[in-house]
Amino acid sequence: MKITPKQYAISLYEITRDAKKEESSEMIKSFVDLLRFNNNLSMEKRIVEEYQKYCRKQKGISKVRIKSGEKLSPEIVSSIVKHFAGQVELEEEVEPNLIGGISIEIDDDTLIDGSVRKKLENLRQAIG
Amino acid sequence: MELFTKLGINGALLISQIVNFTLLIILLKKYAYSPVLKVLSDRSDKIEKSLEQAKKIEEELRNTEETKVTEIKKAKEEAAEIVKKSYDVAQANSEKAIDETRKKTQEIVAKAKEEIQDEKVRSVKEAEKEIADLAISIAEKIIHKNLDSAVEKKLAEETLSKIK
Repeated sequence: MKITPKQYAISLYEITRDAKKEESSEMIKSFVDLLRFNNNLSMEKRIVEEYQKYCRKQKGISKVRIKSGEKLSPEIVSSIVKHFAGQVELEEEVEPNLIGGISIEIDDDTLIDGSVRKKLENLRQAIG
Repeated sequence: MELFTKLGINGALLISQIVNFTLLIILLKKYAYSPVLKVLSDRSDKIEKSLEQAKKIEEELRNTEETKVTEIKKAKEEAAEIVKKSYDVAQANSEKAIDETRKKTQEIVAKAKEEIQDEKVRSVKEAEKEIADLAISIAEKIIHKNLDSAVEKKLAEETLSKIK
C-alpha cells in the first residue's frame, strides 16, 4: 500500500503532538528511518508542507497569501483577516501585473483570483 | 515450120530458147524467187508481229493508264477518308480539351472562391482579435487610471465573498 505525504505528515503530527522534546527527537529519527525503509525519502519536502498545513488546521490557523496590484491599505487587510474565523498567517505580495483587485491563496491549495488581470483575461476569452 | 522460116524465126532456136527460158524460170524459182519470197514472208510476219506487239503494248499502256487512274482515284478517296477521320479525331479531341479546360477553370474558380472565403474569415478573425486586444488594452488603462481605494475595497470584498 502506498502511503501519501499527507498520511505521513498526519502520522508524524499525531505521534509527536504530546511528546516531550527528547522523545520527539527519537520519534523523528525513527520516522526518518521509516521513510528510508519505505524508500520515500524523496517525499520529504511535501511531507513537511503537509505537516505545516495539518498543524495550522489543528490549531485553527489559516495560511493566507494575498497578491495585489498595489500595496493594500490596512483597512482592506484588516477586513481580509476578519473574514477568517481563527488565527491567520498572512503573506502579502505586490504584483503590478494584476492591475487591481486581489488574489487569495488559502492553505496552499485554494486559489481565488479576483484580480483585474484575471477579469480582463476572462473577458478576453469571452469575446474571442 | 515454113511459116516460122518465112517469118524469120528459127524453130530450133526458138525451142532452145523456150527450153532455156523454162530452165531459167525453174532455176530462178528454186534459187532466187523462193528465198526472196521467204524473206519477204518472214519480214511480213515480223512486221505483223511487231504491229501486234505494238498493239499489245498500246493495250497494256491503256490498261496501265486505267489502273493508274483507278489507283489515283482510290488514293484520293483514301486520302479524303484519312482527312475526314483526322478531322473527326481533331474535333473530338478539341471538344474533350474544351471540356477539360472548362472543368479546370471551374475548379480554379471554386478554389479561388474558397481561398477568398477562407482569407475573409481569417481577416475577420484577425480583426476581431486585434479589436479585442485593443479593447482589453484600453480597458486595462482605464481601469488602472480609475482604481482608487474604494474600488480596491469593493474588489477585495467581492473576492472574499467567494471564499466558502
